[in-house]
Amino acid sequence: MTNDDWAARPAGEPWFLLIESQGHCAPQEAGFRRDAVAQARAGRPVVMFLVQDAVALAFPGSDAELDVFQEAGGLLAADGFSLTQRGLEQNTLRDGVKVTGMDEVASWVLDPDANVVWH
Amino acid sequence: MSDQDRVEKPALGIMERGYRGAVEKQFFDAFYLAAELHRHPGGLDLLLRGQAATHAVRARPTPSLRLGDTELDTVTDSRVNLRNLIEAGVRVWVEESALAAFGFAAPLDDVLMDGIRVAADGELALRWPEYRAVYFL
Amino acid sequence: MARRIPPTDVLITLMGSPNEDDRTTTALRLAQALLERGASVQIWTCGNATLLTQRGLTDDKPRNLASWNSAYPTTAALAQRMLKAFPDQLYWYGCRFCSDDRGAVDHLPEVVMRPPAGYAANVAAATRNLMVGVI
Repeated sequence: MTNDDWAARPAGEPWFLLIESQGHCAPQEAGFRRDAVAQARAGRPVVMFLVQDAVALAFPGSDAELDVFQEAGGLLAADGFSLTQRGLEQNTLRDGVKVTGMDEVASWVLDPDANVVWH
Repeated sequence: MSDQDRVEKPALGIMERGYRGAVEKQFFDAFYLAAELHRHPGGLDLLLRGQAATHAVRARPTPSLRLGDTELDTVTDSRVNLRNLIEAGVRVWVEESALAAFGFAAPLDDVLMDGIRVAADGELALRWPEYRAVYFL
Repeated sequence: MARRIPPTDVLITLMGSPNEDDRTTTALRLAQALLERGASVQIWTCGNATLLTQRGLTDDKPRNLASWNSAYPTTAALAQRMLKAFPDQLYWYGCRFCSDDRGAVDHLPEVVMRPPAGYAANVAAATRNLMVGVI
């Protein structure tokens, strides 16, 4: 996916920025990921930004809900700082994951069309 | 959506983590915070799931604890503050699958506190656009 | 007369405990990025996050026995430095109730202590409120 794909969102269209900081968890604790799937399946533009322990979910086979999320059109971004902290920056990410940092996240947070939910 | 629209819509609080300090918190738990958020313009709706789902279940009062020579009878009893929230007009849902994970099955009317509504998984997620904000509490 | 809260682009309500995970780090990183983009930011601390700006932390963490002469700034010092670097752009508030409940009553002078009922005014003054961590 190119950076242009990430930018491809009609201006004025509401979208969800979901910030997930929690890593691997039991199925009954994965509510936020299921919420993300629900948004994507409803056709709402949604980006999930993985930060802190959640960057563990940026890798293939790491989380079934996020597999469904991506299949439903949700976009995943992962925090470069968190990946570097954990020695994960050389590992192969899921297809379509964008590694980014706080400057871009700040631009998303300031976007008036964004609805931001922090987990 | 104008700023005015944002101000008048309720916020949605989602509580997943349960019991976080019966001795340290006593009355000052996440439901107490929720009561403050309900006083903001638009008020608050609340969803319980995960470990927090059992707050919605009828139970006897939390037993007191003896610590040193003190009988601490003010340990957090979440149902007291949750009852206060419902009486203040907060709409409270609990996720059905979260209850099932603890072994609670239909008929849930016999299990839940009065005024608690049951939500299917993802039911409230589809309604996020109706809220001015979604907060994890 | 009620205090006037300067309007800001973003309010970061920081709730969770320091020293438990990187929540505080993430919140400060985001605040910095927002400020560098010219946005205005409030930080409101609740719960254990009120510990971050205690004067008792002083400027420096305890000595690192493995690196005796290295300086390690405390969260209180870092908060002061951020406030100094972004005057009229960054505002820091602390919940008085949470602070009292934790004995965290000696905040930096730059931190404005607010009652819980005052939180609504801070929320209203921000275009967006991010709630980070749980109480």
